[in-house]
Amino acid sequence: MTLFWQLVLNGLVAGALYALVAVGFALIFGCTRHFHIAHAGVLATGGYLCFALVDRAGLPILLAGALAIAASTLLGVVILRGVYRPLERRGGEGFVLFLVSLGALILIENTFTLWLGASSVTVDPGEALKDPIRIGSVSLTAMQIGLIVVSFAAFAALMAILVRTSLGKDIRALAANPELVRILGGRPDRIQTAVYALASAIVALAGVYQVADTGMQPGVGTNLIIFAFVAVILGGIGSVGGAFAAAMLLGLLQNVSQLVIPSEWSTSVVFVMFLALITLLPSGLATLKSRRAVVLSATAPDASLPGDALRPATHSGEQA
Amino acid sequence: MRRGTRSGSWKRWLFALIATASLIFVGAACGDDDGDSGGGGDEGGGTVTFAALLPLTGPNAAYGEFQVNGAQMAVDEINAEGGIGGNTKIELVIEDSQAAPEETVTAFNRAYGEHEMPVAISVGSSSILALVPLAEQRKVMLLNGGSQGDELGGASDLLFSTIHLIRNEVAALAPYLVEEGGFKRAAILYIDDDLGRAGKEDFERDFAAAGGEVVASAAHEPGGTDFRSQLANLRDADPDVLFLSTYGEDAHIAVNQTRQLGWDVQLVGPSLVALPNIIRDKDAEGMITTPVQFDPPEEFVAEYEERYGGPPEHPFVGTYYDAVKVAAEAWAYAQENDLGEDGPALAEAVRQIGTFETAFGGEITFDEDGVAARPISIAVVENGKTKVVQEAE
Repeated sequence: MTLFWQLVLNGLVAGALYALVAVGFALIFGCTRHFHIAHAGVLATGGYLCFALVDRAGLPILLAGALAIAASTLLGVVILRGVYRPLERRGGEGFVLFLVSLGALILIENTFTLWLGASSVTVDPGEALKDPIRIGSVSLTAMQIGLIVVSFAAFAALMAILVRTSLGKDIRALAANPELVRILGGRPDRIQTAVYALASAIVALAGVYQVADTGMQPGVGTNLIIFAFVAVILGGIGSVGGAFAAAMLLGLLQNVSQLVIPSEWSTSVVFVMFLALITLLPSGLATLKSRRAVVLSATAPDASLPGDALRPATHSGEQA
Repeated sequence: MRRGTRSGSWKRWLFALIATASLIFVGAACGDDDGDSGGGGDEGGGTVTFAALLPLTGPNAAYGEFQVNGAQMAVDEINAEGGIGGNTKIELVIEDSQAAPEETVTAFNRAYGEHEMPVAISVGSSSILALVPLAEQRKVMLLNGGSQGDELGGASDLLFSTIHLIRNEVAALAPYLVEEGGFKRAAILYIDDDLGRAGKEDFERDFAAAGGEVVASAAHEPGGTDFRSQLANLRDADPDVLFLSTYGEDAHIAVNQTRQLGWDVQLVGPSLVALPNIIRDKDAEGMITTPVQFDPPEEFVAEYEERYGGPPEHPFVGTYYDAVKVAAEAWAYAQENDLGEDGPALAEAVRQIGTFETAFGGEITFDEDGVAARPISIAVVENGKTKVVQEAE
């Protein structure tokens, strides 16, 4: 039984990390239909910059982490305004935008590789955060507990913004029908900027955790975002709550399955479950959502405005 | 209107800049080299190309730096004396293999497409096994200085390893654990590739033969970052020792996460785990290992420090230095004895020469499987260093 609970806790830790990546990706995709794979680069920026500020500039880790998150947030906004927007203005979207996003990810990762080297870099958060804390017969580190708390807190804050603030209403409205938002005098460009800033800040938290836990190395962000993709699709495209729940489920399944299945198959189990669930629930977990769930999907019954699930080619944050 | 045009203009430039930079960075990450000579050696002088397909990026880049440094130093030493035989310079073409099979094959094809080299130096058990059919088809001699997967022994007549295999280390380690350490129950965490599985199978066999029992084993994926659930599973089997059949950053993560679970088990690992940064980590204190003893002559250390600004911390410096020297000596021998200039000719030269000088001091001899025998001692990590507790026999 001890082993079971240890695996559950490990699954929660893994799920919390996936969730920090997945909710931002779901938010961006639901609101803008941008397949923002460079989100992995924003994560890497959070981790690598935190390392650079601690190791090269000698800053304390908390300050370095905060600055890294701020810089990553800015990077997310710059990618939107400096890369995606001009592309969309010229009619680029869908697969073209995905390729550009992939190029941006490669550029970001290789910039850090050239700057900081290809070896794993890590920030020492201090013994107190790395030493095991026993909870009965199981144990976690303070950092892992912190990750779970931060992940749930970030999700709760994001949901509060989406449900209770005027910005949240704007985001949901833009997700449902961008043309109508424009007609009614809204500013889609500003709303999209806010979406990218929120998502980038959240994913940068994952980057900072990663560099302090196991270290950053080229490709870490990409590995995480693959699970985020699965969580977003499994959760129901555009559903922030669904993405969070699915990410947690993936983490738990990947770890708890090792009770009965050899560990080398644990990742395969995740994808088999994904195929099975998506066959049974083609719209993902969002179809099981509660009435309070926020779905940034044009087809969501609780969306603020009617809209089109398949966004037209002119979907853009730019003012007409 | 004017403002809009200017805005569009700078964004066009931004696009162009990103696109150009992407291409440059992709090229840099792929380890493109600016080698300019093609083909093998020219009779009566010229150059001969050796390809070094080594991990410059990825989780094994920590090893790659030592490997490239060792190989490059040997090439520069030979060329400073006028080249092989005083007249044939070596051009070392370095390509990033990431020590992964697909990337290594790509790197081989890239190098061969430009240079048709007779020698390729590489690493990664799965990667080298993937290269074997290509090398045989294109008549390229393969040299391995860092991988210890058992399948490499005798995998090809064209393959030589300047480092012993993991079976040799486990054969010394397993009896020591049972007879000297008194450990009877072992668990294994292994990386899910050819080398990791070879280490697992060797340990299962030799530990049982010595009177112990392997009570659990678990795999982790290469390049993974979270092995805590595998470790929790292994802890549940209550072993006396945990044998780590893994390497690179993965090995470091495994050591750290074992302790983060609050698990105080005796750690054991082959030389793959004896990386300098792991040995310096307090989580590795007390670990039993079989480090490849590398105590090069003072002149070697001084030259290395002058070139790279630090001591040659890892034996891969020596094994890859040796790989270049072996290939160079084989080239000279093949020329002198009219054996030819291609890989099979060089491999035949290696077999005929038999014994080579090594940067480790002394000599190495390749056995019938093409593997160089080196002495294996057993050590314990103490205060960030390895302390030999059983000398090599």
